Amino acid sequence: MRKFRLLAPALLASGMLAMLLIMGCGGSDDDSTTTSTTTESSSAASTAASSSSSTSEAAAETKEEAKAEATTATTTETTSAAAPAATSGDVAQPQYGGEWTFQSTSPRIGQDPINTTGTGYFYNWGTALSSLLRYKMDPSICSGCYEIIGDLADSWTVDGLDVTLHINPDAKWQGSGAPTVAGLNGRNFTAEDAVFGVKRLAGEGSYHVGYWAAMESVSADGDNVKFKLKYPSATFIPNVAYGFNKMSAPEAVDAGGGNLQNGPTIGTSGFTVDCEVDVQCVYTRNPDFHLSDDNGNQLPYLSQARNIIIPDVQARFAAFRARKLDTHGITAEQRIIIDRQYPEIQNDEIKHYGSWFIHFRNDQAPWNDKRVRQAVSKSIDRQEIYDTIYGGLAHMSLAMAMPAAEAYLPQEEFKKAWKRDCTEAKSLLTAAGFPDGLDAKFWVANYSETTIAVVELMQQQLKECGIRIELFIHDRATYLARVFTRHGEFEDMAYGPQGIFTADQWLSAYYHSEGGRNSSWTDDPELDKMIDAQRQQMDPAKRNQELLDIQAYLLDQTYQAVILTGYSRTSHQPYIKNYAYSSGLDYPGRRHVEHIWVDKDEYLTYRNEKEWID
Amino acid sequence: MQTYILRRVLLMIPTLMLVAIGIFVLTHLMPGDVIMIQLEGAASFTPEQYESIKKELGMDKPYIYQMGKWLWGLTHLDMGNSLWNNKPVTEEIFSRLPTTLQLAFMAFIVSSVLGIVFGVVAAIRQDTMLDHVTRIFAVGGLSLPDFWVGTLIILLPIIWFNWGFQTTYADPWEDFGRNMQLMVPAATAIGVRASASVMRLTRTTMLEVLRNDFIRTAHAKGLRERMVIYRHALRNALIPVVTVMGTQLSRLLGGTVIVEMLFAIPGVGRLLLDSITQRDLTQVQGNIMVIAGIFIMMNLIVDISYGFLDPRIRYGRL
Repeated sequence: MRKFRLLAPALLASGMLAMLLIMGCGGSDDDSTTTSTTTESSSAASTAASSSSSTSEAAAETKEEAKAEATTATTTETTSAAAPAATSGDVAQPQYGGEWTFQSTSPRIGQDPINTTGTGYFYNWGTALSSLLRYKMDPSICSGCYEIIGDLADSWTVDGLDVTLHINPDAKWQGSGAPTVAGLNGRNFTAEDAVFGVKRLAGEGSYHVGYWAAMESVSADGDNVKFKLKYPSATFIPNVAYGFNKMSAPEAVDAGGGNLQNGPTIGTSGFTVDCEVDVQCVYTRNPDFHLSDDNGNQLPYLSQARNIIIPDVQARFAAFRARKLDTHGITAEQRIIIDRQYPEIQNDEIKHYGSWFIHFRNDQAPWNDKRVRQAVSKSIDRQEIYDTIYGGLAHMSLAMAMPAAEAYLPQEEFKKAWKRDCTEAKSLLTAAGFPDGLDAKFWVANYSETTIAVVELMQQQLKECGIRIELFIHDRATYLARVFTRHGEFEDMAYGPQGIFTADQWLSAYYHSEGGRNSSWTDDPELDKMIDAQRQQMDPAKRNQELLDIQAYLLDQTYQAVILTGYSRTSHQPYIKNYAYSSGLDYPGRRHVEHIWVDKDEYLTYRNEKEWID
Repeated sequence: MQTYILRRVLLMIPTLMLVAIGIFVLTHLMPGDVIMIQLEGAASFTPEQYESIKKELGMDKPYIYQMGKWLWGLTHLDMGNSLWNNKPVTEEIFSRLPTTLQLAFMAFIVSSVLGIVFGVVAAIRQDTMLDHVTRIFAVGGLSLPDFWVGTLIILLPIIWFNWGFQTTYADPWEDFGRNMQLMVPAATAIGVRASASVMRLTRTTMLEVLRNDFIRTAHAKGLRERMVIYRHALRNALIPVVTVMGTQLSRLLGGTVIVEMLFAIPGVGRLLLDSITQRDLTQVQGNIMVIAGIFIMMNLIVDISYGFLDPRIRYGRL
């Protein structure tokens, strides 16, 4: 007996060890799920997403007329084995109540909306706040399309350089559930509040000044906010609607000692927010929210939402499989596991305009020679990258979300221009004075192992066409500091991600000689002129044509080589309904949370360990 | 003894000062900066904007000034504010330190219990199957990284039972059960690996002690084997083990960095990793300084504990 007592722990330990070793030798079918996919690239890129737009509404006189003319330019695919009616396009009657659990970035970040561009703020604290206008979130709005609608302002007019927004009389600052600040809780949102908020966003110290560059002045006039513009701007209204431009209350700023870095976070949105840093954020329904759905039902439908902070990718997927998360962005490999083992799960695959691309040092030889840049682009087999690394889920574009379907250059144009052609690449190099090929340094942003897989494949492809690159892999912070800036300090070439930008943002930031993200040192007066012209072009049809011309010009010049634009893969538990994904132009606001609803019966069936929240 | 402790404590001051200088220099050698990460989401920004933020964060001052400010702040426990969220660094650390200490302590318990028990068993059953199995366990344990063991602990229940561990951390004073559901697997992930070295050392020292004359004498006196092993052999064998365990507790603090990320535990380790990624240099400096301070303190405690464990050890002049 004594022997057994001594033996027992040893046997137990060796059993544990054996179990660990066995599993480590291939017992897990999750081993491959660390491989990132287009989703991962987009999530990396989404931290940098931004939006302004150039839509027809800027020239219109009323809200109805101002609706953007964007139509389907992309696809949204929804598949579900057991609950086909549950995602985008669902026509079932929304139900109130319930909780939606998801996973996002940590809220460990300052709480002042003017001092951050991070998802940690906007997906968490910022969820309590609203903008004056918003991008419409609706299952019928597809990726790449957008439409401006009212929020704190219920209508607007544009008359030359005068823009007037009428404040929604139902809009109120949050009361119950929000921190208490004297004189603020539950009172109406006023035009003076709007002016205060805009001046903070456009003032000194704000990170969002650029979105208000066209504004000369702003003032309150009764229930109206009046803007005077410096020049006609096709992008002003979309900028007002952009998710960074959140309104903050004067009383809250006073209570925070002149800023909101440490709160209080009191807004006007459909949810109040309470965050436990690095643990979770809980969003509670605001019963006084001023917006309704198209059928007049007050938003939001959910009683509560929760963002659980899980930094590790494997732990996240494990939590989703254990139904501790209701929605999860998945990789291609995880999709295989879900399809095989969880047929009831709904999957969305949505095309977006987050991208990965190569920067060139256009200011230096040999990259200042168009033929060399074209040779690089011609040497890369993009389709092979999509097929082998992204499971076919990637597409070709110049990574700009256009104001209308007519402004997108057809895929055929890209396929023709970006068809791999080693013979032509070598001819271009020879013509540029490199008959024996070219040696170059290649900086890489190490966002995930997928990135490394892509650059290694590109390295091989380039070598076959006579371009020998040496890889220098840097972490995100180094990449951002050295490459992702006005004038990049990298050598030869660099490869990294970018988020979802509209045409004007991309062109102004990346290609304009004065652009803040002109990392490739592009300095082309003709291109500058074209970019400035489209921004001020108030005729939608003409602007679409100008954007097409710019895309054709960029395809030829190849100042940057866009390698891929991506897809988002998202999976939902079967009880999650009306997950209204957008192209990202609502970024960063989590405004789709207001549209999600939960089927109570299915919820209680699948999540019977949890109580229903009314 | 008191003089010894006083001298050791006084010696800690220059040690910590040198550590502080080293931390400052090394963190400032890292490429990348917090401003560019904060501006990552901005479609565009101007150089003026960049300079303005730099000035606001105090990053425009010469390095020597910044280092002087950091060292001066340390003398009165002010480590400045986080460059990321503007909160006092000490507040950020000390709000999370109990969580990390809890995790490290629990891992310490796991490693000590497993290590000593298996070490003793292996020694008293030397060259038997039991000994071989525990040695394989030890070598295996040393080879398995914490994060790998942790990943398996998370994944295996899902794959086998479609069941997952708790995903949200709870304060033990508020919800002890939920806290344990997360902390026990996390502590096991760290502790299993750490137990291997304790086990190997316990086995070796036990074998040495068991061959000493006084053990033979004890047997000759007719003492029961259990008495000989636990009262005479183990107590003597534990002196070097305690040394290792003391330093191991400090190392376990380091082990929490990855495991806190894996199990989503809001501790100092995770804060350190996040701060490095965000280039929140003041926070990085503060975190490393606190961990270094704990490390030095643990070494002192281990040294002092010798006197209690082995009466032959007396503390004289340094």
